[in-house]
Amino acid sequence: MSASSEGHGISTDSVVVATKDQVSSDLAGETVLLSMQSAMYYGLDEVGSRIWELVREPIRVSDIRDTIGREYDVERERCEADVLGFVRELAEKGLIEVTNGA
Amino acid sequence: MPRDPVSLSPEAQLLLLSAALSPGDAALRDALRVGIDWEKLRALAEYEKATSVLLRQIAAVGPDVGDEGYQKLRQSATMSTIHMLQLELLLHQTTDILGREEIDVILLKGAGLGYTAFPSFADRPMGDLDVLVRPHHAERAWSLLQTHGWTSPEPHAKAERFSGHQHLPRLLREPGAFRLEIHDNVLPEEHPFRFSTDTFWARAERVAAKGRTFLVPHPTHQLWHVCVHFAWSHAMQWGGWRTLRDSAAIIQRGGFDWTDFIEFAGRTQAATCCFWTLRLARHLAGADVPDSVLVSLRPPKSEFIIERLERHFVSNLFPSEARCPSVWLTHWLWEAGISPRWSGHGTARPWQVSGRWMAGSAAPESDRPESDRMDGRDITRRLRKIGAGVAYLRRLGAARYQSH
Repeated sequence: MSASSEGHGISTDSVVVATKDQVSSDLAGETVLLSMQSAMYYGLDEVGSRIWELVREPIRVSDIRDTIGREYDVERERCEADVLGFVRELAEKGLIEVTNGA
Repeated sequence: MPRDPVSLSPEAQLLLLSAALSPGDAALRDALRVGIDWEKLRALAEYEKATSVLLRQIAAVGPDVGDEGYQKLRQSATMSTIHMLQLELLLHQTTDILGREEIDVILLKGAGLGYTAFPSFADRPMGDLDVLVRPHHAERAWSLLQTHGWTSPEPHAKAERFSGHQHLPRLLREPGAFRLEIHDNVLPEEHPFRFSTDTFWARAERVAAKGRTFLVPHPTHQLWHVCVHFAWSHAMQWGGWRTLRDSAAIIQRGGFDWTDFIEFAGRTQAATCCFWTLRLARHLAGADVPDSVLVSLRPPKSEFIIERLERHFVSNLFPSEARCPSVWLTHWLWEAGISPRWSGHGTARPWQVSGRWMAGSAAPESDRPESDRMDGRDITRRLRKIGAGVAYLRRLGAARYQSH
């Protein structure tokens, strides 16, 4: 059962991974990201940085949800909505690649 | 860690702590507890390009994040990180362009260390990119890159004009004031070392990073270059923070071949340069340098003299009032430490080769050569300067010194 798939067709079943078109660096619990495509900078807070760490290798969105929910003690439904929203934002900015139906 | 105020301010001591790869939370807390002037710390960290690393280290022990100075440090660190990410992208573009033309490139200094000794490129802050190409490729590489967004402030400069330099005229990239130096040699022509850049090419290694393969110097050559660049080219007065951290990081990679390094340092007449750099790295940044290595590289001086020279070199690592007040005395003490005659360096000295060591060290007014400022009639000023030099030497003799 997957969550509704709005925006880039991303659902909890989607597998996501950071694109090669970016460079990033940790900075005292936060992450600074530079997209090569858009030449835009992005700053990620602590939770965003943890998700970014997870998507460095291909990972299913449901696994991100479970990891974040467990580590930050967030209720499942809310966590899923937040993770999906964040992942979609990364996809819109060209920072991750999405594979559906893998 | 030196604890006497003669040597270093609390801000400088904290900065030095951050040069250690694992400074330890307790040591950082102690350094913060004495009361830090955040503005001073930020200025010093920016001077050493250390803001991002320093912030990471002290954020881990929970400083007063409400302090305005800390927030400014954080902003500066963010800007530095962004600069590093951009620099990394420019390096990728540059090596791709040169690679398409079959121009081999070795990543020198920070660029090479960012992909070998440190976890990431951004983890090794740097001001510019340094790449080494073979001499017969240098001018082609320099011209080619100018058709890909890099510009030269001296577009009509002839390569011959820079024949004494180890690199062609610096290339710039706007916006952002990024700098690229294309080296055809590792050291300037007048260097006193028995060394050929061919040695670097012969033992260069390939490393994979960010979906690319880069050529980098062999670890022995990386550490040797760090030592010679700091102790000779910069006369131990500039780039100290990065040098100490680089040394510790190269050694920490594991499997470092000290026998190979000692042999190479001796054969190239760089033993004393390596001795001083590694002794400071061990004492100030906790670099894992075995006693036997320091014994092998050590100049023929008593421990009494070595200790006092070390105090001088520590006092001169960063711009401060504790610095040696006289250029002449600074040169004399440098010679006492490096022992150029014993090392076989002849008459070659860093200050004869490049003015950059002085410019880069942001030498205070009082540090300028006396011939620039004195007309020979200012006896009072000259006497005052001699007095300051004598007082400085007395302080070196009296200061307590405690190692890391």
